[in-house]
Amino acid sequence: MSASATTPRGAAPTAGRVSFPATARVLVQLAWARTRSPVLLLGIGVLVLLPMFFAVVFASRGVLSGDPVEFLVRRYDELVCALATPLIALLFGTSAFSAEADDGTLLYLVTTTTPRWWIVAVRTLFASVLTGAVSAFAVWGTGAIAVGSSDPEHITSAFTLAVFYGGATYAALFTALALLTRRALVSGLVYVIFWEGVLSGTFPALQYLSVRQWMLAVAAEFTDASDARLTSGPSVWFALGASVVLVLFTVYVGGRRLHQPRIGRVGT
Amino acid sequence: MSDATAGRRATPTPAGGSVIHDLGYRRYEGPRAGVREARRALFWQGFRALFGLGRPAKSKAIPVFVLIVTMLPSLASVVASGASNGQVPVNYAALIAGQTLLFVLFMAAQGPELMSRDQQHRVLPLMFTRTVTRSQYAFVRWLSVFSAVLCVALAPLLLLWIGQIGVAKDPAAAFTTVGPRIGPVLLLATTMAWVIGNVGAFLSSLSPRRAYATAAVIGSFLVCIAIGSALRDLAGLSYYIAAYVDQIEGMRTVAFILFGETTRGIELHPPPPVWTFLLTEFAVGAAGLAGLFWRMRRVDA
Repeated sequence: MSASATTPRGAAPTAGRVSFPATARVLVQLAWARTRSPVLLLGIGVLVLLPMFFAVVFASRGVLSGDPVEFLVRRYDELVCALATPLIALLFGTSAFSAEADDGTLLYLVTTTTPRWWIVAVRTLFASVLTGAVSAFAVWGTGAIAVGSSDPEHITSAFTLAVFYGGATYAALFTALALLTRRALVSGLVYVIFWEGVLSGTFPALQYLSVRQWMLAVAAEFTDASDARLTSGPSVWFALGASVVLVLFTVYVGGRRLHQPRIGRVGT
Repeated sequence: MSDATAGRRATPTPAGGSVIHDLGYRRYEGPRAGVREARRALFWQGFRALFGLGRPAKSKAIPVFVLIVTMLPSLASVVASGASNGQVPVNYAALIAGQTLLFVLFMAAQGPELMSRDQQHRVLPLMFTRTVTRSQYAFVRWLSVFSAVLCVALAPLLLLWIGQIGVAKDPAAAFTTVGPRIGPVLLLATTMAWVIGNVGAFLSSLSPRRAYATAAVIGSFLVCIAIGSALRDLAGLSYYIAAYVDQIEGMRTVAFILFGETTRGIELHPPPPVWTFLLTEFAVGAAGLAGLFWRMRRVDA
Protein backbone atom coordinates (compact mmCIF):
# COMPACT_ATOMS: atom_id res chain seq x y z
CA MET A 1 0.00 0.00 0.00
CA SER A 2 2.82 2.41 0.74
CA ALA A 3 4.66 4.13 -2.05
CA SER A 4 7.91 4.55 -0.14
CA ALA A 5 9.90 2.03 -2.18
CA THR A 6 11.12 4.34 -4.91
CA THR A 7 13.93 3.22 -7.19
CA PRO A 8 16.78 5.71 -7.27
CA ARG A 9 17.90 6.42 -10.79
CA GLY A 10 21.16 8.14 -11.55
CA ALA A 11 21.99 10.86 -9.05
CA ALA A 12 18.44 11.16 -7.69
CA PRO A 13 18.38 11.22 -3.89
CA THR A 14 17.05 8.09 -2.26
CA ALA A 15 13.86 8.43 -0.28
CA GLY A 16 14.39 8.03 3.43
CA ARG A 17 12.02 6.55 5.92
CA VAL A 18 8.73 8.37 6.22
CA SER A 19 8.43 10.25 9.49
CA PHE A 20 4.84 9.72 10.56
CA PRO A 21 4.65 12.60 13.07
CA ALA A 22 6.26 15.06 10.66
CA THR A 23 3.95 14.18 7.75
CA ALA A 24 0.99 14.29 10.12
CA ARG A 25 1.92 17.82 11.13
CA VAL A 26 2.15 18.97 7.51
CA LEU A 27 -1.14 17.26 6.61
CA VAL A 28 -2.90 18.94 9.51
CA GLN A 29 -1.40 22.31 8.59
CA LEU A 30 -2.63 21.92 5.01
CA ALA A 31 -6.09 20.92 6.18
CA TRP A 32 -6.26 23.80 8.63
CA ALA A 33 -5.24 26.25 5.91
CA ARG A 34 -8.22 25.06 3.84
CA THR A 35 -10.60 25.18 6.78
CA ARG A 36 -9.63 28.56 8.17
CA SER A 37 -11.92 30.80 6.14
CA PRO A 38 -13.91 33.52 7.92
CA VAL A 39 -17.24 32.42 6.43
CA LEU A 40 -16.80 28.84 7.54
CA LEU A 41 -15.70 29.72 11.05
CA LEU A 42 -18.59 32.17 11.34
CA GLY A 43 -21.05 29.43 10.39
CA ILE A 44 -19.55 27.05 12.92
CA GLY A 45 -19.68 29.77 15.55
CA VAL A 46 -23.39 30.32 14.93
CA LEU A 47 -24.06 26.58 15.22
CA VAL A 48 -22.20 26.42 18.54
CA LEU A 49 -23.83 29.52 19.99
CA LEU A 50 -27.37 28.53 19.03
CA PRO A 51 -28.02 25.99 21.86
CA MET A 52 -26.26 28.31 24.31
CA PHE A 53 -28.61 31.10 23.33
CA PHE A 54 -31.57 28.97 24.34
CA ALA A 55 -29.82 28.03 27.55
CA VAL A 56 -29.55 31.74 28.36
CA VAL A 57 -33.27 32.16 27.73
CA PHE A 58 -33.96 29.08 29.85
CA ALA A 59 -31.79 30.28 32.72
CA SER A 60 -33.20 33.79 32.66
CA ARG A 61 -36.76 32.56 33.22
CA GLY A 62 -35.96 30.73 36.44
CA VAL A 63 -38.60 28.33 37.77
CA LEU A 64 -40.98 29.27 34.94
CA SER A 65 -38.86 27.23 32.55
CA GLY A 66 -39.78 23.85 33.99
CA ASP A 67 -37.77 20.66 34.22
CA PRO A 68 -34.11 21.27 33.23
CA VAL A 69 -33.50 17.62 32.32
CA GLU A 70 -36.32 17.55 29.79
CA PHE A 71 -35.20 20.90 28.38
CA LEU A 72 -31.59 19.79 28.07
CA VAL A 73 -32.40 16.43 26.46
CA ARG A 74 -34.60 18.15 23.87
CA ARG A 75 -32.03 20.85 23.09
CA TYR A 76 -29.17 18.37 22.95
CA ASP A 77 -31.07 16.03 20.68
CA GLU A 78 -32.64 18.57 18.32
CA LEU A 79 -30.05 21.34 18.22
CA VAL A 80 -26.75 19.57 18.82
CA CYS A 81 -27.11 15.94 17.72
CA ALA A 82 -29.42 16.59 14.78
CA LEU A 83 -28.16 19.96 13.56
CA ALA A 84 -24.90 21.36 14.91
CA THR A 85 -22.72 18.23 15.09
CA PRO A 86 -23.49 16.87 11.58
CA LEU A 87 -23.11 20.29 9.97
CA ILE A 88 -19.82 21.01 11.78
CA ALA A 89 -18.56 17.55 10.83
CA LEU A 90 -19.66 18.17 7.25
CA LEU A 91 -17.69 21.41 7.07
CA PHE A 92 -14.55 20.06 8.77
CA GLY A 93 -14.67 16.65 7.10
CA THR A 94 -15.17 17.78 3.51
CA SER A 95 -13.27 21.07 3.40
CA ALA A 96 -9.72 19.80 2.93
CA PHE A 97 -10.06 16.90 0.50
CA SER A 98 -12.83 18.55 -1.52
CA ALA A 99 -10.88 21.76 -2.04
CA GLU A 100 -7.75 19.82 -2.96
CA ALA A 101 -9.60 17.58 -5.38
CA ASP A 102 -11.21 20.66 -6.93
CA ASP A 103 -8.05 22.61 -7.65
CA GLY A 104 -5.86 19.62 -8.42
CA THR A 105 -3.42 19.93 -5.50
CA LEU A 106 -4.48 16.52 -4.19
CA LEU A 107 -2.09 15.13 -6.79
CA TYR A 108 0.92 16.73 -5.09
CA LEU A 109 -0.10 15.19 -1.80
CA VAL A 110 -0.54 11.71 -3.23
CA THR A 111 2.70 11.65 -5.18
CA THR A 112 4.79 12.00 -2.02
CA THR A 113 6.19 8.95 -0.27
CA THR A 114 3.67 9.25 2.55
CA PRO A 115 1.54 6.11 2.78
CA ARG A 116 -1.94 6.87 1.49
CA TRP A 117 -3.74 5.27 4.39
CA TRP A 118 -1.77 7.59 6.65
CA ILE A 119 -2.95 10.65 4.70
CA VAL A 120 -6.57 9.57 5.16
CA ALA A 121 -6.04 8.57 8.79
CA VAL A 122 -4.50 11.93 9.72
CA ARG A 123 -7.22 13.88 7.95
CA THR A 124 -9.92 11.77 9.61
CA LEU A 125 -8.30 12.29 13.00
CA PHE A 126 -8.02 16.03 12.38
CA ALA A 127 -11.68 16.39 11.43
CA SER A 128 -12.81 14.04 14.22
CA VAL A 129 -10.97 15.79 17.01
CA LEU A 130 -12.00 19.26 15.86
CA THR A 131 -15.65 18.31 15.38
CA GLY A 132 -15.77 16.39 18.63
CA ALA A 133 -14.16 19.18 20.62
CA VAL A 134 -16.32 21.94 19.16
CA SER A 135 -19.60 20.01 19.59
CA ALA A 136 -18.67 18.87 23.08
CA PHE A 137 -17.94 22.49 23.94
CA ALA A 138 -21.41 23.45 22.68
CA VAL A 139 -23.00 20.78 24.89
CA TRP A 140 -20.92 21.64 27.94
CA GLY A 141 -21.56 25.38 27.54
CA THR A 142 -25.30 24.87 27.15
CA GLY A 143 -25.43 22.77 30.29
CA ALA A 144 -23.27 25.18 32.25
CA ILE A 145 -25.41 28.16 31.29
CA ALA A 146 -28.75 26.43 31.86
CA VAL A 147 -28.18 24.69 35.21
CA GLY A 148 -24.75 25.85 36.38
CA SER A 149 -22.49 23.11 37.67
CA SER A 150 -25.26 20.97 39.20
CA ASP A 151 -25.49 18.56 36.19
CA PRO A 152 -28.83 16.89 37.09
CA GLU A 153 -28.90 13.13 36.37
CA HIS A 154 -25.45 13.44 34.72
CA ILE A 155 -27.18 14.66 31.63
CA THR A 156 -24.57 17.18 30.49
CA SER A 157 -21.57 14.93 31.09
CA ALA A 158 -23.29 12.06 29.30
CA PHE A 159 -24.09 14.16 26.27
CA THR A 160 -20.64 15.77 26.22
CA LEU A 161 -19.14 12.32 25.91
CA ALA A 162 -21.76 11.11 23.42
CA VAL A 163 -21.42 14.17 21.19
CA PHE A 164 -17.63 13.88 21.16
CA TYR A 165 -18.04 10.29 20.03
CA GLY A 166 -20.76 11.20 17.51
CA GLY A 167 -18.81 14.13 16.12
CA ALA A 168 -15.82 11.90 15.50
CA THR A 169 -18.02 9.31 13.77
CA TYR A 170 -19.71 11.92 11.59
CA ALA A 171 -16.36 13.42 10.65
CA ALA A 172 -15.06 10.00 9.55
CA LEU A 173 -18.21 9.42 7.50
CA PHE A 174 -17.97 12.77 5.73
CA THR A 175 -14.22 12.41 5.13
CA ALA A 176 -15.03 9.18 3.31
CA LEU A 177 -17.73 11.01 1.33
CA ALA A 178 -15.25 13.75 0.35
CA LEU A 179 -12.98 11.10 -1.11
CA LEU A 180 -15.67 9.01 -2.77
CA THR A 181 -17.85 11.66 -4.40
CA ARG A 182 -17.20 14.87 -6.16
CA ARG A 183 -20.03 16.74 -4.47
CA ALA A 184 -19.44 15.63 -0.92
CA LEU A 185 -21.24 18.52 0.72
CA VAL A 186 -24.50 17.91 -1.12
CA SER A 187 -24.36 14.13 -0.57
CA GLY A 188 -23.71 14.73 3.13
CA LEU A 189 -26.67 17.07 3.30
CA VAL A 190 -28.87 14.47 1.63
CA TYR A 191 -27.75 12.00 4.29
CA VAL A 192 -28.44 14.40 7.17
CA ILE A 193 -31.77 15.73 5.91
CA PHE A 194 -33.25 12.84 4.04
CA TRP A 195 -31.82 9.75 5.73
CA GLU A 196 -31.74 10.92 9.34
CA GLY A 197 -34.54 13.47 9.11
CA VAL A 198 -37.23 11.97 6.89
CA LEU A 199 -36.54 8.25 6.45
CA SER A 200 -35.52 7.47 10.04
CA GLY A 201 -38.83 8.83 11.25
CA THR A 202 -40.78 6.65 8.84
CA PHE A 203 -38.76 3.44 9.09
CA PRO A 204 -37.64 2.74 12.68
CA ALA A 205 -35.30 0.00 11.44
CA LEU A 206 -33.04 2.71 10.02
CA GLN A 207 -32.25 3.83 13.57
CA TYR A 208 -29.58 1.16 13.52
CA LEU A 209 -27.90 2.91 10.60
CA SER A 210 -28.15 6.47 11.89
CA VAL A 211 -25.27 8.22 13.62
CA ARG A 212 -27.73 10.41 15.49
CA GLN A 213 -29.32 7.37 17.12
CA TRP A 214 -25.91 5.91 17.95
CA MET A 215 -25.10 9.15 19.73
CA LEU A 216 -28.31 8.95 21.74
CA ALA A 217 -27.51 5.34 22.62
CA VAL A 218 -24.15 6.35 24.04
CA ALA A 219 -25.72 9.22 25.95
CA ALA A 220 -28.38 6.91 27.39
CA GLU A 221 -25.66 4.67 28.79
CA PHE A 222 -24.15 7.38 30.97
CA THR A 223 -27.21 9.27 32.16
CA ASP A 224 -29.85 8.44 34.74
CA ALA A 225 -32.56 10.30 32.81
CA SER A 226 -35.25 8.14 31.25
CA ASP A 227 -36.48 10.18 28.32
CA ALA A 228 -38.36 8.40 25.55
CA ARG A 229 -35.77 9.67 23.06
CA LEU A 230 -33.04 7.83 24.95
CA THR A 231 -34.67 4.50 25.71
CA SER A 232 -35.46 3.43 22.15
CA GLY A 233 -33.01 2.50 19.44
CA PRO A 234 -29.79 0.51 19.29
CA SER A 235 -27.66 -0.54 22.24
CA VAL A 236 -24.44 1.21 23.17
CA TRP A 237 -22.22 -1.71 22.12
CA PHE A 238 -23.81 -1.78 18.71
CA ALA A 239 -23.20 1.94 18.35
CA LEU A 240 -19.55 1.74 19.38
CA GLY A 241 -18.91 -1.25 17.13
CA ALA A 242 -20.58 0.43 14.20
CA SER A 243 -18.46 3.55 14.48
CA VAL A 244 -15.24 1.55 14.76
CA VAL A 245 -16.24 -0.22 11.54
CA LEU A 246 -17.04 3.13 9.95
CA VAL A 247 -13.66 4.65 10.84
CA LEU A 248 -11.77 1.59 9.58
CA PHE A 249 -13.87 1.65 6.41
CA THR A 250 -13.00 5.32 5.86
CA VAL A 251 -9.26 4.74 6.26
CA TYR A 252 -9.21 1.62 4.10
CA VAL A 253 -11.49 2.76 1.28
CA GLY A 254 -10.11 6.29 1.36
CA GLY A 255 -6.58 4.95 1.09
CA ARG A 256 -7.58 2.72 -1.83
CA ARG A 257 -9.33 5.63 -3.43
CA LEU A 258 -6.23 7.81 -3.34
CA HIS A 259 -4.51 5.37 -5.68
CA GLN A 260 -6.57 6.92 -8.45
CA PRO A 261 -6.88 10.53 -7.34
CA ARG A 262 -9.32 12.60 -9.32
CA ILE A 263 -7.62 15.56 -10.86
CA GLY A 264 -10.07 18.39 -11.12
CA ARG A 265 -9.81 21.52 -13.14
CA VAL A 266 -6.17 22.33 -12.64
CA GLY A 267 -5.46 26.00 -12.31
CA THR A 268 -8.83 27.47 -11.51
CA MET B 1 -41.61 33.53 -30.41
CA SER B 2 -42.91 35.93 -33.02
CA ASP B 3 -41.55 38.79 -30.93
CA ALA B 4 -38.12 37.28 -31.06
CA THR B 5 -38.10 36.86 -34.83
CA ALA B 6 -39.45 40.37 -35.25
CA GLY B 7 -36.68 41.68 -33.01
CA ARG B 8 -34.17 39.75 -35.03
CA ARG B 9 -35.33 41.29 -38.28
CA ALA B 10 -35.49 44.76 -36.82
CA THR B 11 -31.80 44.82 -35.90
CA PRO B 12 -29.80 43.48 -38.80
CA THR B 13 -27.11 46.09 -38.19
CA PRO B 14 -25.43 46.84 -34.87
CA ALA B 15 -27.91 48.47 -32.55
CA GLY B 16 -27.07 51.40 -30.33
CA GLY B 17 -23.98 52.28 -32.29
CA SER B 18 -22.00 49.23 -31.10
CA VAL B 19 -19.49 47.75 -33.48
CA ILE B 20 -17.89 44.33 -33.71
CA HIS B 21 -14.21 45.04 -34.23
CA ASP B 22 -12.35 42.79 -36.63
CA LEU B 23 -9.52 41.30 -34.62
CA GLY B 24 -8.84 38.59 -37.11
CA TYR B 25 -10.98 35.99 -35.41
CA ARG B 26 -13.61 33.91 -37.11
CA ARG B 27 -16.22 36.25 -38.53
CA TYR B 28 -19.87 36.28 -37.70
CA GLU B 29 -22.14 37.14 -40.61
CA GLY B 30 -25.47 36.01 -39.20
CA PRO B 31 -28.23 38.18 -37.84
CA ARG B 32 -27.68 39.93 -34.49
CA ALA B 33 -30.49 38.88 -32.27
CA GLY B 34 -30.55 41.83 -29.87
CA VAL B 35 -31.03 42.20 -26.16
CA ARG B 36 -34.35 40.37 -26.01
CA GLU B 37 -32.80 37.24 -27.45
CA ALA B 38 -29.83 37.58 -25.11
CA ARG B 39 -32.14 37.61 -22.12
CA ARG B 40 -34.12 34.69 -23.49
CA ALA B 41 -30.97 32.65 -24.01
CA LEU B 42 -29.76 33.52 -20.52
CA PHE B 43 -33.08 32.46 -19.03
CA TRP B 44 -33.14 29.08 -20.78
CA GLN B 45 -29.49 28.42 -20.02
CA GLY B 46 -30.22 29.05 -16.34
CA PHE B 47 -33.42 27.01 -16.31
CA ARG B 48 -31.74 24.04 -17.96
CA ALA B 49 -28.71 24.30 -15.67
CA LEU B 50 -30.98 24.08 -12.62
CA PHE B 51 -32.21 20.68 -13.77
CA GLY B 52 -28.82 19.60 -15.11
CA LEU B 53 -30.18 19.32 -18.65
CA GLY B 54 -27.50 19.13 -21.28
CA ARG B 55 -24.97 18.14 -18.63
CA PRO B 56 -23.69 14.69 -17.61
CA ALA B 57 -25.92 12.34 -15.63
CA LYS B 58 -24.25 13.20 -12.33
CA SER B 59 -25.53 16.77 -12.56
CA LYS B 60 -29.08 15.49 -12.88
CA ALA B 61 -28.85 13.37 -9.73
CA ILE B 62 -30.24 15.88 -7.22
CA PRO B 63 -33.08 17.30 -9.38
CA VAL B 64 -34.21 13.82 -10.35
CA PHE B 65 -33.89 12.60 -6.75
CA VAL B 66 -35.96 15.50 -5.41
CA LEU B 67 -38.63 15.15 -8.11
CA ILE B 68 -38.99 11.41 -7.55
CA VAL B 69 -38.99 11.59 -3.76
CA THR B 70 -41.56 14.36 -3.69
CA MET B 71 -43.86 12.91 -6.33
CA LEU B 72 -43.88 9.27 -5.18
CA PRO B 73 -45.92 9.95 -2.01
CA SER B 74 -48.41 11.95 -4.11
CA LEU B 75 -48.76 9.07 -6.51
CA ALA B 76 -49.16 6.58 -3.65
CA SER B 77 -51.79 8.78 -2.04
CA VAL B 78 -53.77 9.06 -5.26
CA VAL B 79 -53.53 5.32 -5.87
CA ALA B 80 -54.68 4.57 -2.32
CA SER B 81 -57.60 6.93 -2.74
CA GLY B 82 -58.57 5.36 -6.04
CA ALA B 83 -58.25 1.78 -4.79
CA SER B 84 -60.46 2.49 -1.80
CA ASN B 85 -63.10 4.33 -3.87
CA GLY B 86 -62.28 7.60 -2.17
CA GLN B 87 -62.47 6.20 1.36
CA VAL B 88 -58.86 7.18 2.00
CA PRO B 89 -58.78 10.99 1.80
CA VAL B 90 -56.13 12.79 -0.22
CA ASN B 91 -54.29 15.06 2.22
CA TYR B 92 -52.54 17.84 0.33
CA ALA B 93 -51.08 19.72 3.28
CA ALA B 94 -49.86 16.70 5.23
CA LEU B 95 -48.04 15.49 2.12
CA ILE B 96 -46.44 18.77 1.15
CA ALA B 97 -45.41 19.57 4.73
CA GLY B 98 -42.91 16.71 4.75
CA GLN B 99 -41.46 17.73 1.42
CA THR B 100 -40.75 21.41 1.88
CA LEU B 101 -37.22 20.76 3.08
CA LEU B 102 -36.52 18.76 -0.07
CA PHE B 103 -37.36 21.81 -2.17
CA VAL B 104 -34.80 23.70 -0.10
CA LEU B 105 -32.34 20.90 -0.80
CA PHE B 106 -33.01 21.28 -4.54
CA MET B 107 -32.37 25.00 -4.28
CA ALA B 108 -29.22 24.54 -2.19
CA ALA B 109 -27.76 21.97 -4.56
CA GLN B 110 -28.73 23.59 -7.87
CA GLY B 111 -28.91 27.33 -7.18
CA PRO B 112 -25.13 27.76 -6.80
CA GLU B 113 -24.87 26.07 -10.21
CA LEU B 114 -25.98 29.42 -11.65
CA MET B 115 -25.07 32.00 -9.09
CA SER B 116 -21.64 30.80 -7.96
CA ARG B 117 -20.36 29.30 -11.18
CA ASP B 118 -20.67 32.52 -13.18
CA GLN B 119 -18.54 34.23 -10.55
CA GLN B 120 -16.12 31.33 -10.18
CA HIS B 121 -15.47 31.06 -13.92
CA ARG B 122 -15.40 34.84 -14.36
CA VAL B 123 -17.97 35.01 -17.12
CA LEU B 124 -19.77 37.99 -15.59
CA PRO B 125 -17.53 40.57 -17.32
CA LEU B 126 -18.42 38.96 -20.66
CA MET B 127 -22.11 39.49 -19.93
CA PHE B 128 -21.94 42.96 -18.43
CA THR B 129 -19.85 44.42 -21.25
CA ARG B 130 -22.57 43.46 -23.71
CA THR B 131 -26.24 44.25 -23.88
CA VAL B 132 -27.17 42.55 -20.62
CA THR B 133 -26.87 44.99 -17.72
CA ARG B 134 -26.33 44.01 -14.12
CA SER B 135 -29.93 44.45 -13.06
CA GLN B 136 -31.16 42.64 -16.18
CA TYR B 137 -28.79 39.80 -15.40
CA ALA B 138 -30.04 39.65 -11.80
CA PHE B 139 -33.66 39.69 -12.98
CA VAL B 140 -33.20 36.95 -15.59
CA ARG B 141 -31.24 34.75 -13.19
CA TRP B 142 -33.96 35.23 -10.58
CA LEU B 143 -36.61 34.35 -13.15
CA SER B 144 -34.81 31.07 -13.96
CA VAL B 145 -34.54 30.13 -10.31
CA PHE B 146 -38.11 31.13 -9.52
CA SER B 147 -39.60 29.16 -12.43
CA ALA B 148 -37.49 26.09 -11.67
CA VAL B 149 -38.46 26.00 -7.98
CA LEU B 150 -42.07 26.68 -8.98
CA CYS B 151 -42.00 23.65 -11.31
CA VAL B 152 -40.51 21.45 -8.59
CA ALA B 153 -42.93 22.63 -5.91
CA LEU B 154 -45.97 22.52 -8.18
CA ALA B 155 -45.33 19.02 -9.53
CA PRO B 156 -46.45 16.95 -6.49
CA LEU B 157 -49.41 19.22 -5.74
CA LEU B 158 -50.59 19.20 -9.34
CA LEU B 159 -50.20 15.43 -9.43
CA LEU B 160 -52.48 15.18 -6.39
CA TRP B 161 -55.06 17.52 -7.92
CA ILE B 162 -55.15 15.83 -11.33
CA GLY B 163 -55.01 12.41 -9.72
CA GLN B 164 -57.86 13.11 -7.36
CA ILE B 165 -60.08 14.12 -10.26
CA GLY B 166 -58.80 11.30 -12.43
CA VAL B 167 -59.43 8.40 -10.06
CA ALA B 168 -62.94 9.52 -9.11
CA LYS B 169 -65.86 7.40 -10.32
CA ASP B 170 -67.48 10.48 -11.79
CA PRO B 171 -64.74 12.85 -12.93
CA ALA B 172 -67.17 15.62 -13.81
CA ALA B 173 -68.68 15.62 -10.32
CA ALA B 174 -65.22 15.39 -8.81
CA PHE B 175 -64.16 18.39 -10.87
CA THR B 176 -66.87 20.57 -9.36
CA THR B 177 -65.89 19.59 -5.80
CA VAL B 178 -62.12 19.27 -6.13
CA GLY B 179 -61.66 21.76 -8.98
CA PRO B 180 -61.56 24.94 -6.86
CA ARG B 181 -58.58 23.52 -5.03
CA ILE B 182 -56.41 24.60 -7.94
CA GLY B 183 -56.38 28.05 -6.31
CA PRO B 184 -54.65 26.95 -3.09
CA VAL B 185 -52.41 24.62 -5.11
CA LEU B 186 -51.12 27.48 -7.25
CA LEU B 187 -50.92 29.92 -4.35
CA LEU B 188 -48.94 27.53 -2.17
CA ALA B 189 -46.49 26.57 -4.92
CA THR B 190 -45.94 30.24 -5.81
CA THR B 191 -45.33 31.11 -2.16
CA MET B 192 -42.79 28.31 -1.84
CA ALA B 193 -40.98 29.36 -5.01
CA TRP B 194 -41.04 33.00 -3.89
CA VAL B 195 -39.52 32.31 -0.46
CA ILE B 196 -37.15 29.42 -1.24
CA GLY B 197 -36.17 30.67 -4.69
CA ASN B 198 -35.57 34.31 -3.78
CA VAL B 199 -33.75 33.73 -0.50
CA GLY B 200 -31.80 30.83 -1.99
CA ALA B 201 -30.79 32.84 -5.06
CA PHE B 202 -29.55 35.68 -2.86
CA LEU B 203 -27.60 33.44 -0.47
CA SER B 204 -26.02 31.40 -3.25
CA SER B 205 -24.91 34.54 -5.09
CA LEU B 206 -22.81 35.55 -2.08
CA SER B 207 -19.94 33.13 -2.64
CA PRO B 208 -18.06 32.16 -5.79
CA ARG B 209 -17.39 28.74 -4.23
CA ARG B 210 -20.21 26.33 -4.84
CA ALA B 211 -19.75 24.35 -1.64
CA TYR B 212 -19.97 27.43 0.55
CA ALA B 213 -23.03 28.68 -1.30
CA THR B 214 -24.76 25.34 -0.78
CA ALA B 215 -23.89 25.37 2.90
CA ALA B 216 -25.15 28.94 3.24
CA VAL B 217 -28.56 28.18 1.72
CA ILE B 218 -29.28 24.97 3.59
CA GLY B 219 -27.65 26.20 6.80
CA SER B 220 -29.80 29.32 6.98
CA PHE B 221 -33.03 27.41 6.56
CA LEU B 222 -31.99 24.68 9.03
CA VAL B 223 -30.93 27.21 11.67
CA CYS B 224 -34.28 28.99 11.27
CA ILE B 225 -36.07 25.67 11.77
CA ALA B 226 -34.05 25.02 14.92
CA ILE B 227 -34.76 28.49 16.29
CA GLY B 228 -38.45 28.13 15.49
CA SER B 229 -38.87 24.75 17.13
CA ALA B 230 -36.95 25.89 20.20
CA LEU B 231 -39.05 29.03 20.50
CA ARG B 232 -42.17 26.91 20.35
CA ASP B 233 -41.07 25.01 23.46
CA LEU B 234 -40.69 28.14 25.54
CA ALA B 235 -43.80 28.46 27.65
CA GLY B 236 -45.73 31.69 27.36
CA LEU B 237 -44.97 32.37 23.69
CA SER B 238 -47.61 32.04 21.01
CA TYR B 239 -47.74 28.63 19.30
CA TYR B 240 -47.44 30.33 15.92
CA ILE B 241 -44.37 32.43 16.69
CA ALA B 242 -42.32 29.66 15.07
CA ALA B 243 -44.25 30.03 11.83
CA TYR B 244 -43.24 33.67 11.52
CA VAL B 245 -39.57 33.07 12.35
CA ASP B 246 -39.10 29.84 10.42
CA GLN B 247 -40.43 30.18 6.88
CA ILE B 248 -40.55 26.41 6.32
CA GLU B 249 -42.90 26.06 9.28
CA GLY B 250 -44.77 29.13 8.02
CA MET B 251 -45.39 27.54 4.63
CA ARG B 252 -46.52 24.32 6.27
CA THR B 253 -48.98 26.24 8.41
CA VAL B 254 -50.27 28.09 5.34
CA ALA B 255 -50.71 24.74 3.59
CA PHE B 256 -52.77 23.35 6.45
CA ILE B 257 -54.96 26.45 6.62
CA LEU B 258 -55.45 26.73 2.84
CA PHE B 259 -56.43 23.10 2.37
CA GLY B 260 -58.57 23.07 5.51
CA GLU B 261 -56.68 20.21 7.11
CA THR B 262 -55.73 20.09 10.75
CA THR B 263 -53.07 18.66 12.98
CA ARG B 264 -53.37 18.26 16.72
CA GLY B 265 -51.41 21.46 17.20
CA ILE B 266 -53.71 23.45 14.93
CA GLU B 267 -56.81 22.06 16.66
CA LEU B 268 -55.48 23.06 20.07
CA HIS B 269 -54.35 26.51 18.94
CA PRO B 270 -56.67 28.33 16.53
CA PRO B 271 -54.40 29.88 13.87
CA PRO B 272 -54.27 33.60 13.14
CA PRO B 273 -55.59 34.76 9.74
CA VAL B 274 -53.73 33.27 6.82
CA TRP B 275 -52.83 36.64 5.29
CA THR B 276 -50.47 37.38 8.18
CA PHE B 277 -48.36 34.37 7.20
CA LEU B 278 -48.58 35.18 3.52
CA LEU B 279 -47.53 38.76 4.20
CA THR B 280 -44.49 37.60 6.20
CA GLU B 281 -43.51 35.19 3.47
CA PHE B 282 -43.98 37.83 0.79
CA ALA B 283 -41.75 40.20 2.77
CA VAL B 284 -39.05 37.57 3.26
CA GLY B 285 -39.05 36.70 -0.45
CA ALA B 286 -39.00 40.39 -1.42
CA ALA B 287 -36.03 40.93 0.89
CA GLY B 288 -34.24 38.03 -0.81
CA LEU B 289 -34.92 39.52 -4.24
CA ALA B 290 -33.72 42.95 -3.14
CA GLY B 291 -30.61 41.33 -1.70
CA LEU B 292 -29.93 39.58 -5.02
CA PHE B 293 -30.15 42.87 -6.93
CA TRP B 294 -27.92 44.54 -4.32
CA ARG B 295 -25.37 41.76 -4.60
CA MET B 296 -25.37 41.84 -8.40
CA ARG B 297 -24.78 45.59 -8.44
CA ARG B 298 -21.60 45.32 -6.42
CA VAL B 299 -20.20 41.89 -7.36
CA ASP B 300 -16.72 41.98 -8.89
CA ALA B 301 -16.87 41.55 -12.61
